Amino acid sequence: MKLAAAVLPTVLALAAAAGCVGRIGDDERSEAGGPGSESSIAAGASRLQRLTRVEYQRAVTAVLGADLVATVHFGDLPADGKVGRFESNVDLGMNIDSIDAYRSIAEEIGALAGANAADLLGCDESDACTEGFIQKYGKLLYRRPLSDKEVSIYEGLWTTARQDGPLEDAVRLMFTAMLQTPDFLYRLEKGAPGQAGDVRKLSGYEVAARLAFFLWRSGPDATLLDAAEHGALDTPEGVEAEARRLLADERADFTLLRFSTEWLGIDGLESQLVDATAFPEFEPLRADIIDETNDFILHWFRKDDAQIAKLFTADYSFASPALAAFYGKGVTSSGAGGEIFLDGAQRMGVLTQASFLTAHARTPSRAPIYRGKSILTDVFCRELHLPDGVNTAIKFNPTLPARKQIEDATSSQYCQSCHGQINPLGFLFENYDGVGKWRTTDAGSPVNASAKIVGTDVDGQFDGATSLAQKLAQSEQVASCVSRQWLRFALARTDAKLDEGSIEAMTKKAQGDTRELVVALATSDAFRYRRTVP
Amino acid sequence: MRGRGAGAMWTRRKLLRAAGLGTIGAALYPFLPRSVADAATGPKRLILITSGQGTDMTRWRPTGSESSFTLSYPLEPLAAYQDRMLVLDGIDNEAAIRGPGSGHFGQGTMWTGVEVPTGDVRPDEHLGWPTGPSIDAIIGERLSDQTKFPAFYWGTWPIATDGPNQGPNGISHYRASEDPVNPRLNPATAFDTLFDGVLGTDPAAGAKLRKERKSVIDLVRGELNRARAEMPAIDKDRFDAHIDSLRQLEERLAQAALECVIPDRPTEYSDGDIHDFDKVNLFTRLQFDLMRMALLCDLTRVACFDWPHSEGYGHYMSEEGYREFGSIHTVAHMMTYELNPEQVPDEAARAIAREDMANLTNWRSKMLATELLDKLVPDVLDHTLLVWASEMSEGGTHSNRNVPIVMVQGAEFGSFSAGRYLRWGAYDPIENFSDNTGGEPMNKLLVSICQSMGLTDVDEVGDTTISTGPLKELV
Repeated sequence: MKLAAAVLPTVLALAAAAGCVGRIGDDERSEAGGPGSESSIAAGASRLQRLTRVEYQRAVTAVLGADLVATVHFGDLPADGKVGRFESNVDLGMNIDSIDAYRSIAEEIGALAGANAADLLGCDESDACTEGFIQKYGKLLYRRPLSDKEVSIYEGLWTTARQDGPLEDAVRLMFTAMLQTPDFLYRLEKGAPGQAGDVRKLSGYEVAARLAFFLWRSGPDATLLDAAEHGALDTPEGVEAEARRLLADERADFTLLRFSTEWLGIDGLESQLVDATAFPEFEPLRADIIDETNDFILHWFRKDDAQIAKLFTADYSFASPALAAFYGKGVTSSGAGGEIFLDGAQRMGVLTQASFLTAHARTPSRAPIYRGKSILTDVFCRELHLPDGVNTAIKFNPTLPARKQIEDATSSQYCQSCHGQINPLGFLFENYDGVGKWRTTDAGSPVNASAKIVGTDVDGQFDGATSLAQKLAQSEQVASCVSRQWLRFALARTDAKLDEGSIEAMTKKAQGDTRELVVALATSDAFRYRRTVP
Repeated sequence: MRGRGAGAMWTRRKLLRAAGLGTIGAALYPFLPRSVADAATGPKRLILITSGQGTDMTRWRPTGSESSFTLSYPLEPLAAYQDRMLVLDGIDNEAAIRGPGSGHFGQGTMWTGVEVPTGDVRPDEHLGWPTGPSIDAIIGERLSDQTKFPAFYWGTWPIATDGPNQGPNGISHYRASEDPVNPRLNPATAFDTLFDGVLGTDPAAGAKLRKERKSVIDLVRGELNRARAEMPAIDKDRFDAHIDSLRQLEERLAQAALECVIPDRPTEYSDGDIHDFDKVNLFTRLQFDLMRMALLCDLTRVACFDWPHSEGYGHYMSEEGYREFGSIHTVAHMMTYELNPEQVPDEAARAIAREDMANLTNWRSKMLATELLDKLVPDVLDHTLLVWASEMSEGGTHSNRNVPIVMVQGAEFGSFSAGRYLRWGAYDPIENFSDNTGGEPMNKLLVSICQSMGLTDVDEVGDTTISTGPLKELV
């Protein structure tokens, strides 16, 4: 229904000419530099970021404390957008409803702060006390010191409130206003003093905000703001030191899990619809399956060596007894704290966990396509260009194995320009059913999990997902892709050709160590500079 | 009994009772908006109801002729409104058929009439947001100087513009091109937004709040202007949009305090319940309560409500006196063909699925009749047009042809010739999976709705290569 036969040859010709699978950044763009710029610096253009819901919530909570904001309806904040797999509001503008939502929640938080006015203020409401209070919270919420003019504006608001109201009113209004300012709601980046060109070095405070929102998904703490004030964030060394501090802090756990789940497309597992008739074992295990990946990621990153290779090839994981039983012979033994050890023939690394396998099997018979596509686009960073007007519906015959039907449905040269790479990667996962349980038959026939991978730097004939995992661990394309994904996540934007230098440099510096990769990213040009023209 | 002509047919007490407020509201709130009290010139209202996955089309169809027909089981609860109904059988969600993506994405096209383009919003399906406003926004914009909210949007979980499973398959309303509207899911905070500034028991507190908000908005505007001046040019349009929206909000907040009956704030749930599929029935009732009050108080004249789209469950059906079932998505698939190879529905299983889908539609009809239309203050009802549509005919086929549409036109609404069952084409959801079999495009209906709401100059909505002009047969 979507594809008129008459247009096919044209589309086919175009697809064949352009190739289905592209590299990112192929469509770039202007050169680095420009008048008044740091002309030797290359960084992709970044547009104005508005805080995501979770950033707003964590930033406010960090400033006012979890107890004070416990009843706030953060769920009523404007919804977030995504850029690729990652949450980002870079493409979402404001409208009256989002402004009203920010107004409403700021009033809600302001009222709670007002109810604790005396405790928050902590002094006698002398002019100096009030001014200090405005400066303290202004700095935390604006993520930079307030200008004298701004201090006086808030003093004016305070005085007006106090003319016919209690202290509570002044504190309430101050927070209500601060939380609606562009300085709080956006990550304003005008560049360091004197920077006005197309590529601008960021000020220390702007770098502090980038670091905090990247590594904590929250605003900078007082230490970070101090570092900015003292110029420590003006050098790569200073940025590195703070990046290491933030990364070591447990607040970074949230970021690690956020990155991993968004990157691998498993962030929707909590609410993913899974057919309970076909897979009755899934629902009781849903939480355990989500926990497994979280526990694994944190252990791998914090306690193990955080090597990208091991992400794909780890011979351990963490599972509840029920989940371990679900994995059956894939688990050879178990250790303390829910640790399980894996039989490398069946399970290995994050891609054979039930989370990834289920998330990419939303329609189980199409799982090979979804899983293969995820490997190709998420792990190899290939961009697929779906031509317009393609009917992607496949009417499956349930009495036949899905693999054969997918092969038949995508056998034309036209389909093969993409599926020639997608399908083999997905077929390697044929030993896992729609919720990741090991299987040896599909629709009564023996499973065929062998396939020939083409178009990568680890091409070859493979048998099963664990053989693929070992090759992914060796792939330079995969290592570079992981860098690219972290950059997208950290900067909440797509990458551009001008970011290639940063991506290459961080990949090289990290040598496969994700902890070092994160630090290298924070010190990269793309992170420390802002390109302000498209 | 209908409110045409002089004299207040409805005493305040009767209005309050009809609004479900009883004597408590009567004692506290002496006012009703003029637009309600003055029934003779009552303004027109529009209610758009969206439900996903279609229904069992073969069972949904009425029997009989255009003017003499019998409602089927799924629509039977609306029988009291039959003489004001238009059952539309043969409308194609054409923009969805033309665009990429599966039939589910017809939710983004049904009220906009434009294709969902390719894009990054749903990376797995390569789809973006529709590039046009939906008719609620088109109509609301035109009425925006007359009510506090040009349009208002309610929904039940899991509708949201964000989250990995979301996108134009779950969002049916768009303020403008690529500007999706998140329906309000939390009745309590929707209540706060709606009734904020509506005259309450303490006018002095209201005056103080206004004054405070003005100070805060002035401060924020100053900071926005400063930031706009300081930031690089690339950021300017974002600040412009922010500043413009702030101005709109300021105007809304500064509107003369509306005098109306303020209902109780809904509190009979916890925030976590909002994301509980099993409480869709509770939230449907709560949201319908709010919708009725918003229309009664003339806070908006365009009210939209979305039931859970593709990913809902029918666990609450047993509480509603029907057989319980699980996933609506699965049921929709089972009606027609298998969801996955492990699950091959035989004829008996198909029959069960079809019955479950018919039950779901029956329950929804019942909600619309008993929780919304029956309880609307009659003078409001008389000036209201309700349109209930789905993005697909039957979820299992994923077909956007012949989507089920029911319209209920108030007695004084006067735009269409009601009490009719209209059928176009010869579409069969099972046999004609993709063929055009003579239906009429949804875009014509969208034009008709705009015109019925007074936008008589609107002669096209959405993609004009699909169609222009209204659906003439409605008149």
